[in-house]
Amino acid sequence: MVKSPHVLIAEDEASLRLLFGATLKRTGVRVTEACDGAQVLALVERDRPDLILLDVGLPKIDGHAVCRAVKSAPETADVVVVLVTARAQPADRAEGLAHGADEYLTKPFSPARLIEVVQRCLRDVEEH
Amino acid sequence: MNRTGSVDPQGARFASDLDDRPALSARILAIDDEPLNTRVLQRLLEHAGYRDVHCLTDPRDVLPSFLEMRPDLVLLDLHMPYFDGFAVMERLQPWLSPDEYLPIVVLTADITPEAKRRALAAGAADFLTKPFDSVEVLLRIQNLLEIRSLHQQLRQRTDLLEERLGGILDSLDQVVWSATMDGRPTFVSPAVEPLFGTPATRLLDDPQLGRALLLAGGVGHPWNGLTGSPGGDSDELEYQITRPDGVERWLRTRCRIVRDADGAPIRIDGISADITEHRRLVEEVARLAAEREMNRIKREFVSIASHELRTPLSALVGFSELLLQPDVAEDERQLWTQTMYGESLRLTQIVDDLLDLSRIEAGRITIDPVPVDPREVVDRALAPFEAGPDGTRLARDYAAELPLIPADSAKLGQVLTNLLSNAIKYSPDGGAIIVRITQAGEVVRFSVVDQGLGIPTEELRRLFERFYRVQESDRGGIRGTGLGLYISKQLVELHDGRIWAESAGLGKGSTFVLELPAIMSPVGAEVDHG
Repeated sequence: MVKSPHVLIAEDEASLRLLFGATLKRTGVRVTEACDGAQVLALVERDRPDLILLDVGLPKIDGHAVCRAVKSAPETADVVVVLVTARAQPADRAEGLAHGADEYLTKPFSPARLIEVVQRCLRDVEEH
Repeated sequence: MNRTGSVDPQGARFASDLDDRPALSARILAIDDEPLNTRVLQRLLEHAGYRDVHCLTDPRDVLPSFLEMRPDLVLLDLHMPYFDGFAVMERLQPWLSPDEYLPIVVLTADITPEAKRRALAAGAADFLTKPFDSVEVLLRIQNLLEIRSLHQQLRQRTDLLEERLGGILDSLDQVVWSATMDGRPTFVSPAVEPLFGTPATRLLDDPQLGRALLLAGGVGHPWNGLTGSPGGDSDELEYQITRPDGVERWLRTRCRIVRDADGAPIRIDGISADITEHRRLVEEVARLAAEREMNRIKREFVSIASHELRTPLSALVGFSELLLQPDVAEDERQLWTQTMYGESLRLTQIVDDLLDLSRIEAGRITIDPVPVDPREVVDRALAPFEAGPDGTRLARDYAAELPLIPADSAKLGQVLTNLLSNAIKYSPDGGAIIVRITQAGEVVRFSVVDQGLGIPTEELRRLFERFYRVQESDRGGIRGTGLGLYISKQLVELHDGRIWAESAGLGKGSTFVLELPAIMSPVGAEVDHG
């Protein structure tokens, strides 16, 4: 039996954590949550999630810094990072990807879009 | 011994020692009506080495000879026909330039003290009686010529300095000046006209104008720090003048009191520069910096506002989509709907703030004040918070007796709601929040006291600026548009009230104070009439 994928939701807005969690649980993934950057790094170290849904505007350590930290450490470099931001400038997308993110979502996005992106990323990892 | 003097060999020998002295090129004019005397003098002087000696026996010829020869020294007899030595000195006087030293040596047989006194008073440099001692005459002539030569050197040096100084002053943009202790100008350098729009003569003639332009007033004038007391001997002032031609300029003047050897003040020296352009640039730079700061704040606001709008919108769009699915459990449906309701309120608040902002900017916000009980307004603002998750942290502290206040209770309620939600928002680790109402003289004072994150002292004032948010990484997780306190301040000011923040610093909690004028009962009126 295949172990269900583990997604870490890193988002400081409680309503959005709830939304992302509810959406992803319906697709059968296991979900944990973090609400600031320091917590994310601790959970990545402890749980090694398959994917982080990472808000850029996190308190304490922002999403870009978290992304750089995760992607530069060899033992966590293969964790998929999907950056989530409220900023919609093309330059922001480029910046996010430059920090090593695998995907980039701009708020607001629909649950369907979230599911599509997360599943595609997880599939890519599996095929790899 | 010849009574008119003779060439004595000792004198001639002495003179030969002087051969290489440049003084020997001096021009000497000797005037004596007795030809024998002039011959003796001529021989004595030529023996002594003087090469340019001219003798006159008719005093009537003195002026043409003098003007032709321009002697360096004059030997003059006193008693002569036509006019005497005194008259000769009088005639020469107008032709002597004031800064020239022309020694006149009187050589006379008149030995009366009277003659000597008169001659010296008339300007004679020396007075010798006949018969004279040749060596003495030569030595005195030599001394006087040396003095004249020193005078000439001094004058040349002074001329050179003046020329150099003049060149410097001409090329200066600044005006260098001197003034009397009461500020009346006595000297101004050439740049005065371009700077002050008035010629130097007018400035020197009109003490009032001089004082105003050079010193912004005289010594002890409140505009300048020249008090003459310790520490008040120099000053640098910036001031605006209106020139006689009506042009306004900004000047910077550095001035100091000059004292004599005894320490008594004798004059003021100063240098004034036109700093109008400099000031304009400084102001322009400040304006541009303020504009840039405003643009930066606006950009940041757009980014914050967009984030603030996108978050509730994301939640609303997302949960609606989830709710539209067929197999939603009842408890999930309820939780999601509640969340959507909360997010809708949040969205409404942001939209309200933005609308208030635009009304304030357009000057279209008005209040409708009626007498209200301050306790009722606060109670109404507290109610929704007390019903929420932070209800137990809130405490009231109202004074027993409170006057009514003229207020628009909806707008005042909006301010209090804003202060309460800030107090909760910025004390994430809990702590009591006290709402206090007191009377302080003719005002009613509302205080919202929290034990939260606090505010750095230097930011207390800026809190109420449009879009301003405290820059502190620790509060990165706390959202806000930076509009609440700005709007609150505008609303309080419409009530003729004041609002400010107090905090002992980061981590020390904050107190927001709001003061509104009270409705005072007339003095002596009965309070318990009904």
